[in-house]
Amino acid sequence: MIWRGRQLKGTVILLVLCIAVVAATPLVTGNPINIQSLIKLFGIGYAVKTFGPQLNDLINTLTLNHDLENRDATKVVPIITVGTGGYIGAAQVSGPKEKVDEVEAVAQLEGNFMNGLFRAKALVPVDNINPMQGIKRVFGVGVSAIIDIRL
Amino acid sequence: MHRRSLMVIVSLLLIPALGGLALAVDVGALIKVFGIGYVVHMFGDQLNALINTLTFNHGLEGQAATKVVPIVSMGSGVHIGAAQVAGDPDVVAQVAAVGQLEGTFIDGAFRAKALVPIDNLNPLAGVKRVFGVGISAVIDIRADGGAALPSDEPEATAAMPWEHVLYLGEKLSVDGNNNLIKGDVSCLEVVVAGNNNQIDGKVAGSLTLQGKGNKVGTEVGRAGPGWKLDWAGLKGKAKRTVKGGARLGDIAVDGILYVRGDVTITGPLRGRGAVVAEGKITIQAERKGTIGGDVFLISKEKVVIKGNNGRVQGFFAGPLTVQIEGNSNRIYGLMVADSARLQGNNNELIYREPERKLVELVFH
Repeated sequence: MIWRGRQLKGTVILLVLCIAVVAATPLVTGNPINIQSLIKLFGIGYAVKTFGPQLNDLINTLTLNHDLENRDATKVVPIITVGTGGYIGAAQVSGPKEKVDEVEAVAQLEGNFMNGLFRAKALVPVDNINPMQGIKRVFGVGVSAIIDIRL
Repeated sequence: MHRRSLMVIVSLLLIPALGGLALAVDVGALIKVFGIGYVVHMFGDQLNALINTLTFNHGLEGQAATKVVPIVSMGSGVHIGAAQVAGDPDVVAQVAAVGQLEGTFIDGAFRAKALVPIDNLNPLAGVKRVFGVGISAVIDIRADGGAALPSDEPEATAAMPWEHVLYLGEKLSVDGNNNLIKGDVSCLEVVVAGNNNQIDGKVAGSLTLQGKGNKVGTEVGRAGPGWKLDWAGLKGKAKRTVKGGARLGDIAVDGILYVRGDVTITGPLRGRGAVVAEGKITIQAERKGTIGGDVFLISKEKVVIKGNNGRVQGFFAGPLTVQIEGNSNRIYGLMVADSARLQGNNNELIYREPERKLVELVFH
């Protein structure tokens, strides 16, 4: 019984290691199929959490290469719809570090104006990823990039 | 003038007073001729207030100052939409546009659009980032302006904004060879009789290709209505009046310069304004420098572009024919007229958007 218990424990550890290796593989190999499979499997939230810091650096490099770099703190967070709380993409936010730290998501509100000629998407940095639990605007932070995720 | 032209004039006159249903058609006409930038400037304040109301209604209103500015592509300088920016009033006031940089990352799984508040509307002229300002909304503008005109435009190009280099009420004739028209064309009838000409843009109207080796961009159905100017209004706004037979070269044109007869343009026109001639306008192109400038050139009769190997700049408007007789000229601007004749060879006609103030000067 003792041996069986150790075997079970070992199997669990092995399984966890396998999952970890599988999850880390796309980062190492850069295989697009694997990244997109993972995004499909685990959703946009996972993608933003996993690749957010990397995307943040890449966007900052993009602006730096055009001599338009940001001086403020930045990070990448999911964009959520206020109505359903669904994840619809990602955004880079920027502002003073203590304020950026408070941002958990960007809430998107949509409005059609002037007989549909203009469609506005208001992008509001908020302090909670779940709008159902109540969200507050984080003041002093703005959106500096919008990221579409290929599914 | 056509009855449809009259409809557009009436629409334009009504724009400031109207909201509601008629507005979409009017704005559509404006976008088609003058581009997104002009419309953003025109409706920016209204959009700004509407977006602030939207966030307020969800208890997510901001505390910062806001305004709506055009989004411009950093690569081409083309206006591709609008954005609301937010921040302290003094820095928001410095923002002229939002520059968009695009990047595809991590094997194409992510496509990022960096949105940078910048201090100049023309990124090709050099821009600086305005610090302390963030983007608080992104605004898509319907490329067709919600226009009532039916169109068979393919989906692939329908989302692209119109950039009319030629917006003609009647006819475009291309009789010369090897000419390039870079921009969109709206015209009842387009006849290309010469050879190896290219229209690199969308073409709305009836198209006939008679010569050999001619190429056109996407055909998108019916042309828009023609355009008519308020001559009495233009004359009334004149800051300066000169006699017919004048030659204008290397002078400043601010506001409306009214000419009682024919005029010849022989050099650069500095400033922002319009030359309005009761007679013919002749532009004498030559190798040295730019002929014309950021000005509207409006003739009651016709505009003729002569000479070779020159760089011509201007926005041509009026119930007129624009006749391009010279060769190997590069002509930057747009033409809003009844008809145009491209008789010379190896000319390039390249779209350039006029500034909002200029459009207001001539069309309001």
